[in-house]
Amino acid sequence: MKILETKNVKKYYGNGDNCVKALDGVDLSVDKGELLAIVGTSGSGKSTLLHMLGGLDIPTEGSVMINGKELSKMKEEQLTIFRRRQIGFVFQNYNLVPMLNVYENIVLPLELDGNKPDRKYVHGIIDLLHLKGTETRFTNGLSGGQQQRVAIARALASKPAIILADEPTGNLDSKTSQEVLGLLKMSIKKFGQTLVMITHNNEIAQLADRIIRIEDGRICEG
Amino acid sequence: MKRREKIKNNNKRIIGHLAARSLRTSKTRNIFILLTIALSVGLLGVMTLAYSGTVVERNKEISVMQHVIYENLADPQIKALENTKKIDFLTLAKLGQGFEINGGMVRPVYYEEITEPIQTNSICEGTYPQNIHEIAVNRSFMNLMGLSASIGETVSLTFLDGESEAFVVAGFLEGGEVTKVYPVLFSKEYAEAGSQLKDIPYQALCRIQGAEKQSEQAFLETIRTIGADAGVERKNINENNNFSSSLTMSAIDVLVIAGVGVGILLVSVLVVYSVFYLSVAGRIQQYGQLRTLGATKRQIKALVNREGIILCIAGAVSGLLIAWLIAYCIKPQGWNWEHTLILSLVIFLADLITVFVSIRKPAKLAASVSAIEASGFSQYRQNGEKESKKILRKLTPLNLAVMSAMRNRKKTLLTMISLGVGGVLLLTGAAFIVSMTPEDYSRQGFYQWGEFVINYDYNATQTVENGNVGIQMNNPLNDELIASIQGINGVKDVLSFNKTQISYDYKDEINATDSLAPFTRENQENVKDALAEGSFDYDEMIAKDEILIANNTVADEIFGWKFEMGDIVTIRYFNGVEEVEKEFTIVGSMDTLSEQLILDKTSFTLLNKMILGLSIFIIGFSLINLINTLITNIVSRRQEFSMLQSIGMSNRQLMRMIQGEGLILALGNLVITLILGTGAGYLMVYLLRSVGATYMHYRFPSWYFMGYVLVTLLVPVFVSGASVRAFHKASLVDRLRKME
Repeated sequence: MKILETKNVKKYYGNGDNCVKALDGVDLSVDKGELLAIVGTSGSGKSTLLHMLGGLDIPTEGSVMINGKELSKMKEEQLTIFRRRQIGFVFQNYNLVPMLNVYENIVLPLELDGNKPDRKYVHGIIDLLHLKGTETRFTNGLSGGQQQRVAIARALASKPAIILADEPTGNLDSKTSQEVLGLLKMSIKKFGQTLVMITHNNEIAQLADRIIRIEDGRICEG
Repeated sequence: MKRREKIKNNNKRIIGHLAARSLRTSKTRNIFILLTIALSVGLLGVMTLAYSGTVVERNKEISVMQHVIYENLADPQIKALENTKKIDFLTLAKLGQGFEINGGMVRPVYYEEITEPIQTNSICEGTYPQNIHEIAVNRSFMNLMGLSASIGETVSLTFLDGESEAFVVAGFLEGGEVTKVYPVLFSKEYAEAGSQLKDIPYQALCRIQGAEKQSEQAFLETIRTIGADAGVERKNINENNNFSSSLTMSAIDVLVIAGVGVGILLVSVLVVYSVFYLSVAGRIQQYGQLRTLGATKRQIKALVNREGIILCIAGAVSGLLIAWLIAYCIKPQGWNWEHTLILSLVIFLADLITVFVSIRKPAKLAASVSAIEASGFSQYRQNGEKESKKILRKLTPLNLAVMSAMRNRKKTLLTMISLGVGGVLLLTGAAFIVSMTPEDYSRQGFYQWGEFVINYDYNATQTVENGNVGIQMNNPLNDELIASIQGINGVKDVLSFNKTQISYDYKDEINATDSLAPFTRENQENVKDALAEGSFDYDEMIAKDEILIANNTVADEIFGWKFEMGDIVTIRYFNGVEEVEKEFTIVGSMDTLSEQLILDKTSFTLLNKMILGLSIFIIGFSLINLINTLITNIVSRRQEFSMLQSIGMSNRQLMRMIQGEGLILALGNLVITLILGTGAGYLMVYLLRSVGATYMHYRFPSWYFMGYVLVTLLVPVFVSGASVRAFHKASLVDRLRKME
């Protein structure tokens, strides 16, 4: 069953001679429960594609559908709410909120949605990601790896249908990387989630169900 | 051979290039800093240039006035004065006894046809009166007489002595459209032989050589010596107060301007500091990068400083140009390039120093960051807290706003203070405006107690035998009249003031006229408060024939001596039956406020107008400061907001959060404004009252404050809405990526 589908997605910056084609006609479909890895050189358009999939950016042409709903047809407010319920993001630069502590950062999307967090579940994630004991600390006091794990925990906390991760293991050592990916895999299995992640790490990419390679804004493998 | 190589750090060009680049990439911040600098410079400029304009204008007026009038002159004295080398110019004039016609005061005068360089009301139509029957008057005078304003018209004047004489109007005098005193200019022939002027001694209006360059004291010395040499008594030397006081700049005025100026600079230090602080904190990663690439701490500091200087120059120049325009509009007659350029330079330097002081700390902060630190830097790092007390606080938008303000206490406080200073200025300015209503102002003197003054007819006091006392013998202002006035519907109260005419002998003054006023036992405490010298006991005063001297300083000014405590004054008065002579002992002296008020009146109206204009400008300044600070606070955190949105904060929630933050700042600001602003306003009114502005009464400027509250609360609402809308022009990803 397809959960995510793109049709001829294009993203152009500038025009005329200066036109940069970040994405140049991407057709992609992801099944429910799939673990998809996107690889490619830097500047190939991986991150842009991920942002399109999550509705953070609007394609110049083409459409992105999640669960049969076209993102570009949603209103701003609708899209935001849809995003916080259906999609969990792991950003490359974490995007943690400095005025909040670790625990609050993790449950923020839930709270913004007006839901009470499932405490048992959240604490389970915290344990798994080795964040126990850091709950009340502010995020700017944490190491890069810890911040990355908080970002992952936040993406998992609201049990979204799709998790979009930009280099989720970029700042982690290989042992933790394996563990984190194991956790992500376990989570998608348990909750029937789908994971799309960008990675540079071949070992990590090999753990995925499917690997696609992007070059010059097009899918060339996969 | 050992050679010590000097490390050359020639980086002027690259620093300049980087600074220019940095400026181009942070336009919003630049606009706010420019606005702040331009506003403070503009305010300073308008204030000082308008003051300078007033001085220049006054000097222009003074330059066509006499420096001194020697009065009561006999022929030998006139000859002596004419032969005095130190007198550049001398012209003779006569001032006759005034009298009332149809409610207007008419003054017979004589002055020479050509009085340049001293300006007198010259003939604007017709001719200067040539023979004994010709006069020149204001056109409005013809109106007063009920005659048509044409040359050749015959006017019949009835003088105080009851004599009537007919004159032909030979010319009209300039000005006098709105006047209460109508001059009638007579011919030289009339001045010598006419009934009204022949017995009046001449006075000489003189301009003294090099007087403009003397100090006030030296000038007074000079004119008194000239007078003494020509045999003119001290009391007959009447210096032009306007001129003599212009020789020393008014210390109070300068102090007021300097004080307000320092205040404005302090406000701009705060604002520029907070804007630069936010901006530096926002791009700390960039500085870290530069440091990794080999920039020294000094270079980073130079970079931030350079940006500040460029902004300062641009802001100051635009501020000064605006100030020039406004100052010119306020005082077009007082425009003077030399003053303008010098003052502008001083203001410019003051502002340059201000900017240096403001960006010293942010520049240090920028320079102190190492490359590694920079990557993890956040404004929140400044706060030492590493852990929160609770694991989960309520995460509603409003709570997030509170948390943001609390987590970033330094910035919150800075912003509140920066807003608060503006608010305090606003409330003080507004307090001045509402505390000085035109009604209070026009109620100076007697009118502070009532709307009508009933007193003796001027012609009568001059003509009835024994003058004032003669009328008092059969006082028309008696209890019966007072009772009947009190009986009129709408009359609340009638207050009476008493004085009697006397003449006295003291020192070289023989038979000088003055007046004597009583005070009641109930009033003695007030009198004691006003006492400048000596002391008294009410009963002893009665028993021992003791008196108090009012306005001893005026005596000093006119006669060159003061009434000394313990001295005896011989006083003569008409007791209703006969002339009585009695000796009194001086036991005290006082300087009453009302007299001071008259002396300072001209300078007060000037100061008042300035403070009033300043208040309006300050109100504008603080409103723009308010909007500026609130917008900066939102715009500089665009990235932070985008981040919150990327993880699912909706527009509505974001707006609520921004509004919440605005509300917190507003509340802090309003508390500061209310407490300190009320205090400052009250203090200002108190100080102004203590220097004689008794028409000031402190009133809380509630309407202004309410308006301020409204603006403080509404601006964040509008700005948050507008910025959230503006954010949407760029996609979330772009906003996340962008540093500024």
